[in-house]
Amino acid sequence: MRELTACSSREEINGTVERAAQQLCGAHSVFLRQGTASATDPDPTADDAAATGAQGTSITIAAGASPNDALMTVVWTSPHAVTDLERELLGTLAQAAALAFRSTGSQRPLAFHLHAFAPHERARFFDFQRQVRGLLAMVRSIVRRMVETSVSIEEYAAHLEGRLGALARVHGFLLRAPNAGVDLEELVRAEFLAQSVTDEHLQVGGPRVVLGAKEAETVGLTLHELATNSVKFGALGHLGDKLSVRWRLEGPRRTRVVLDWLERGKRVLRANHRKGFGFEVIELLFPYELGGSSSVVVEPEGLRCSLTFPVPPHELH
Amino acid sequence: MTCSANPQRVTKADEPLEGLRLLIVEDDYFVASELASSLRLRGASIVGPAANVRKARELLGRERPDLALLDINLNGYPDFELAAQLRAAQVGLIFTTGYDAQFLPAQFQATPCLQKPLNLSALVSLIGTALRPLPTP
Repeated sequence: MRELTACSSREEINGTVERAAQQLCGAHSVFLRQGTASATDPDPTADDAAATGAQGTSITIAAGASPNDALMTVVWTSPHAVTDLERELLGTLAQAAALAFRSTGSQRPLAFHLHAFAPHERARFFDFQRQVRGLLAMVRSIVRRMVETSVSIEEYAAHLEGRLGALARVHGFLLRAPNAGVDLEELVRAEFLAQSVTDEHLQVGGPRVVLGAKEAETVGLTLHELATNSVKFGALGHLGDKLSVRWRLEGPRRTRVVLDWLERGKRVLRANHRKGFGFEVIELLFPYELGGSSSVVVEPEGLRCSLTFPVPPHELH
Repeated sequence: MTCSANPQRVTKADEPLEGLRLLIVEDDYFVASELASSLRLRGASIVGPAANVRKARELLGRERPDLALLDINLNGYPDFELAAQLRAAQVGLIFTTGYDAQFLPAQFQATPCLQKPLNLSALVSLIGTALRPLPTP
């Protein structure tokens, strides 16, 4: 971050700020201008970003109010839930850019404001530590808990492998870019791909929903249990049976996801299959961890599961 | 500190936590339920587990634990407000966390802190330490 002090041209400042946004927030690109918005052009850097045809998420930040200050639009090319930490980081970055712009004219020293980044970098490292340790604690508890519900070592091994695979997929998505979140549809489709379920069985769809790390982990594990159960006992294990997975956003600020998993066909789960680890995940873990609700009903045509959970407010598109 | 400071409390070797009311605040279901059942086996009665601060506050409105095991990272960021509230109510505290202890703010530097994954026997012996009355600041 000290690099900004050494910038002697606007291009250098642009490049340095963009690299910082990429490293700190997983952003794709940054559009930066000196000078604030005007009445005729209220959002010039957002227009610059739109002109490149970039899709995904963007956020525009104005630093200060004087004509020398910076206006900055940051773009992520995939859906991205911008966190408070990222807002803070990018805000500081915009301020740093504003000061760097000034100093290219006046040679004003800039070292003083860049120290602000050190605590954030430290916070990011702590956060990474926490994620790894949390994941290991969770895996250890799953490994132990499964011992109580498994019939044979072969079954134990197969199920553990499947569950670790589901967690690995979620964390694979999460590690693509820090704080980028996971797209719900991508998560659903990845689970079916892992179970080798082909499209003719499936109807999948709903509005765009980006899940945070904890939500993605819990939803990913729950979907895995539903899919595994369906392959073994339900519609996904029987040619000609159908499965639809649809979701919608509810509530005035669209802060509640309602996901319906509906199996329709000839192969119906018997009632005694309901007492296992998988159903503990769906019926107990899911509502506990997400503060939502879940219900599983075995109907004559197949299993119906409804999952409801809160998400941060979604912008109306 | 009524129950926790009572030196007459009966403690059996196999149930070293007999008579203790422990609040568990932990957002991971399997970690929370494993912790609850292992501590119950050692004689403790469990308040919760609570997955978040809101649930923990609900429970605290009805029950008063002797000690709280508190995950300081719920909902993705560290939160010490509940810890401060518990301390003000003279409830003993043990932090469980994926962070290093150096992450603790100054006023909680002396609070025992266990790193995840938790070692249960270390936890049980720490509970004894945590229940000693705090020196007055």
